[in-house]
Amino acid sequence: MKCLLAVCVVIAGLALGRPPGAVAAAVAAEDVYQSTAGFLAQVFGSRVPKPQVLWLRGPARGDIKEILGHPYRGARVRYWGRDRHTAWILEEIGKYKPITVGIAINQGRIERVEVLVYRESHGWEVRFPFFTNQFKDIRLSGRRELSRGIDGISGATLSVNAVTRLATLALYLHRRVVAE
Amino acid sequence: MARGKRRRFAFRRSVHAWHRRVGLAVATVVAVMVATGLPLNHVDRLGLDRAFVRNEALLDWYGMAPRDGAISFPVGANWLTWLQGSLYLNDRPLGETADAITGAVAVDDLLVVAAPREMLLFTADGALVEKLSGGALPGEIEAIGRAGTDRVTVRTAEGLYSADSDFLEWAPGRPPVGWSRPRALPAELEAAILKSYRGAGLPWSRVLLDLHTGRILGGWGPYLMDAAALGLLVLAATGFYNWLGRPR
Repeated sequence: MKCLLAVCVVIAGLALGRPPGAVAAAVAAEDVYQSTAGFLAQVFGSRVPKPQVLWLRGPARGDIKEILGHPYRGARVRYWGRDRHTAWILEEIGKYKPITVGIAINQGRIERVEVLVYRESHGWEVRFPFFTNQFKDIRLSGRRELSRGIDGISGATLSVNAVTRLATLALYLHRRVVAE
Repeated sequence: MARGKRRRFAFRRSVHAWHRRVGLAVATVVAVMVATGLPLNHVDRLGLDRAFVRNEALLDWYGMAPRDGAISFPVGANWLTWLQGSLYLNDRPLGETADAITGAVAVDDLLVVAAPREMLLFTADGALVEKLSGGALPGEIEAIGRAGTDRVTVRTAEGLYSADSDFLEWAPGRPPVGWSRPRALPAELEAAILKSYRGAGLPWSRVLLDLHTGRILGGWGPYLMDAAALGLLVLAATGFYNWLGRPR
């Protein structure tokens, strides 16, 4: 009985202890590698066109959901364009935080991919040219696929997938802008 | 010979007694482990990771109260509230977050929410239209309001800027501007928002897991469960010993 009493005392003592506490959100640092203005200047030179918007309506929303694997958050997408040359600033979550990527497309082919802001704690290697240069000259094959495969980076799979999805999305949106 | 037999008998009685004591001592804890372990094996099927705790006492125990109070702005006939990063239109979560909030205005059919480094455009019923940040803004937003012409105007360190109707370009703004200012939220709405905030924060699967591991009791809880697990081992050993010594 003494043993049982001791266990009860221990349980009561523990019950007065600290609760597990609220789940604290991890705050990841935000690394800004390039500004939007800097990216647009690289793409268009000194004559950056005025921004325009593409409204996402009807079947486009379904197509985009297939590309991203989730619905696009927002009813319209901002872009900069002249002739058949467009630039897009898009965001996609790698694991927890959005990665901001600038994508330039010329004549239906990717001209440039730049990671502008990276907020995750792992996978920042996707910003290096050895990765982003792989996208150069890629076009949309069929309705929603890249014409060439992208080599991954071990330890950065989710970020690689996020940038790849954004490149596909930019090509798809470019095609819609040109069609309109 | 007789003394050795008596010793063995005394030892067996002692093992019997300890088997009962240990069994009694760990019974409650083991019952908790079993009762929580079974549903934890079927979390997906039972939807326990999608069902959220609404019990006030349990939420308090987990410290699920927001660190900062709600900041609310009247927008037309509605209220826009920021609470711990989440945005609410009246008591409905908008599903979008912002690190902070500087104001909110309603213009035409849009609801415009400004944070220092971003601006969110919603339809009147709360669907996200676009999130503006970086180069899409004239600078870090200190305040947002409506100029006389109903144009959305923001104040930055560099001065006033007014957006065009599509929020694509910003031009220097002019006073007077009716700035958006925080107001005290009606008590009923505040209570509903707080309930919504807390209700979406703690899934039942987390509570069951913490009960199962003992973490719900704090740092020492897992040691209690360890002790119960060791108690089970003792029960198995003493039970086997008792079975061996049983008259056949």
